[in-house]
Amino acid sequence: MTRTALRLTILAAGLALGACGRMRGDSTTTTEAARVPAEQTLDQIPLGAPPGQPVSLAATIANPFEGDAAAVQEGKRLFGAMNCVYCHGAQASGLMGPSLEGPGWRYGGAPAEIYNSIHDGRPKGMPAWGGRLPPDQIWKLVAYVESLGGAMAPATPQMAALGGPKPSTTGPEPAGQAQDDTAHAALIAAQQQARR
Amino acid sequence: MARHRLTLLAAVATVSALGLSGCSRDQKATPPAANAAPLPGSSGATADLAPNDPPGEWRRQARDYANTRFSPLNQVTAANVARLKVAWSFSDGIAYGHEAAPLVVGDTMYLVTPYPNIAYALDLTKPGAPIKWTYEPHPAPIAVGKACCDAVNRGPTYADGKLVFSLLDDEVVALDAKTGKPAWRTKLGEPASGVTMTMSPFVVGNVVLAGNSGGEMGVRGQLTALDLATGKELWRAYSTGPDADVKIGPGFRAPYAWLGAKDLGATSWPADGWKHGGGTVWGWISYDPALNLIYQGTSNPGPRVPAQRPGDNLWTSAVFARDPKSGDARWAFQFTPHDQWDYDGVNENILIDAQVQGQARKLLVHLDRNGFGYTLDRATGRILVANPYSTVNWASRIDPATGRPVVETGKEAKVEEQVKDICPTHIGSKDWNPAAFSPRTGLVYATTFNICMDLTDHKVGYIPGTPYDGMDLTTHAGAQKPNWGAFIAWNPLTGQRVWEVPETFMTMSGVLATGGDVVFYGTTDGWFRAVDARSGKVLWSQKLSSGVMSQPMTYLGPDGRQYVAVYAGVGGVASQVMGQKNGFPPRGGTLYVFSIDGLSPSSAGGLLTTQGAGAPGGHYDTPD
Repeated sequence: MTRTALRLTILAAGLALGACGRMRGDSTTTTEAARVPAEQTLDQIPLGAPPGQPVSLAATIANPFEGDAAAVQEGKRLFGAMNCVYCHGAQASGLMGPSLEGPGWRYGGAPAEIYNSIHDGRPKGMPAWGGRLPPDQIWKLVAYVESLGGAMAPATPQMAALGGPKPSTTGPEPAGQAQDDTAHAALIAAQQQARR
Repeated sequence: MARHRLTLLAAVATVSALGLSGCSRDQKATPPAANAAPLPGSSGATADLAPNDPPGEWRRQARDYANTRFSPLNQVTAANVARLKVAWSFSDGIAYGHEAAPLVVGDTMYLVTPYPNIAYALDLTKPGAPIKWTYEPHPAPIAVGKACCDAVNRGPTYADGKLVFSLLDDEVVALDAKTGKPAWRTKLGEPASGVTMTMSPFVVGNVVLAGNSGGEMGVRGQLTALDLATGKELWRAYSTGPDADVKIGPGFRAPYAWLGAKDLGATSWPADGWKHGGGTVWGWISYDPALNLIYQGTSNPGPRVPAQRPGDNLWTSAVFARDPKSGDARWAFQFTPHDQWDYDGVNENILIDAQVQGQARKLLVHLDRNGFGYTLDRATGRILVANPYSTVNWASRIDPATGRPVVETGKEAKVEEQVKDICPTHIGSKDWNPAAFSPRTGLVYATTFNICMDLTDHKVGYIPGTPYDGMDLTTHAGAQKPNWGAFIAWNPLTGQRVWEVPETFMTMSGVLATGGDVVFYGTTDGWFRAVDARSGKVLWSQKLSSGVMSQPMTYLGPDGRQYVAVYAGVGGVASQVMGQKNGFPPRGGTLYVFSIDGLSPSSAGGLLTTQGAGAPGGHYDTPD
């Protein structure tokens, strides 16, 4: 395990403990502060800078947590803890940032496209969470967004859904794309396996 | 009818003489002193209209240093304002909220749009006011998603041949006003961290003053001074932190004892809380040349959850008086200690003068977001008047001995527990939307909100580049249901509302006061209105293409006519608060320019002039 990965693991563990209680409706207690991510921890997350390596998963990839109610709940918790809620709104219907209810997805509304947006960040202010949140937490965030009802089916990339040309299925893959997808799918499968 | 024809003839004569007489209007205008003299029944307050620009011009957002937004022009009066019609218009095709006023200097109008902050110069001597030059600064798009309340811009300022304005990605740019070529461009911060810039820079001598935005993003507030000639940084004053950072030194005099201790900008916070404590400087700046002091407000503290920052959280939700050359603070006063409701102190500070109990006093009028209308002594920062100007229930009164609000404990914000019906709501009884002051009536005119909130706080963690927020709220109309807004006249010496015009939708525009004793404002549902400055009677209303949350202004055209201009283009926090309400208009920025009967160099009684093919700026077909 690399040092970066180790730090991420520690961070993820901290986040799992540290989410705020907004989604669970907890009452105020003296332990409230403990649930908030510690400032000195989160301060280390260099968000907002251009992402390192975009993942660019193919839009046809399904969410490994599809239909997993616990994943939706965890995604909702992360949506609060990572401050997504104050950009996209309490009901994710838009505030500073765009609505996540669809159908007007700027960067695609298929689960893997939403994953890409969270992982890579987007030019008008969406931070790049890739490398800061592990893949399974990003997929859980995607699961929460999907639960809002506006996401598109994995096989329905944005352009096709809006009546535009379908992406070429016969043309050459972008360099390394297929390997990336395969490697990612294997990673997720391994994580799910470990979870069980 | 005969008179109408005469006007037309005069217009035609003026149009034909345009090429020769670009500077004639300064002589035509009545001297400002006469037009600004108090009327019988005035409150008694007056103002110094320095720097006494040519009466037909509008060189900075507030027109003068005192921030009166009063023009001495008086062709448009209660007798003829109902004849205002659109003379020409200009659409910029941008859907973000439009909060700026155009400027007019000489025969040129200057506009700066919301993001992407395009600057236009329009030639007022030619039919249709064609574009002279365009400057596209291409600010970094990441800033759009870091701006809490839409990618707005509050307009340019003109000084020493330069057009100076802020870019959303925390930059200040100065253009050669003649050519539109940049003289300098200075970057003040990194928007990826959450900082943006929306305010209108303010120029005193060679000093350009520019503050940052991002009070909802854990940004540390600051005001930066740049050299007008070069854009180089002269000084920087923070709103939080140790005295050295805040520029509090030996010349500082606390208006009240509780503001006098050392390093309050650090000690009134939990350890290091001030580093992400807000207090951003996104509102208006005014200047008193006699005292040589500038006045600037600071935003709400961060995070917006008060439970996470016990203490007064100085110097957030406050006002500073500073020396413009050094930045040194002379006094500072906090309107809302330990702000629990997002009551930024950034609203305009209007500088007025009056006799109070037989003594000539230099005063500062400030309608704060917290719902209280303050009149302070601007030499000392001490309160003369502090009364609610709208529905207020978070505090019962301002203690005259200390200047501190007496907080109603039942309206204090709570973590994970909803507190119902806090008035005013988070954006206050009035937001940045600047009031105007007429030295003729001695009254302040303001667009206000009648909005309350149900508030639940959630604790938050600081993650750079994401909101440091925690307020979860819903809004509703306050006591004056179903009206969400009102246009009010305020007596700054007695602290009383003189009259009000109730509005169904919230009113969030700047106000224009004129020597014709007509005041102008707009509504977020798109009405632009003219009101009698004395009686409050609505004299004229025009429905525009989108909601109005910009700042109306007036100028004298090269043809000698008085024009009134205002941008329609709703957005900003108005769309966040009221966008779901039935009847709320769509976005889209269009500048409307009005004149009596719609006359201008490009029209004659509403018909297009026929000046032959090849007229600059467009082509014109003869009707037959």
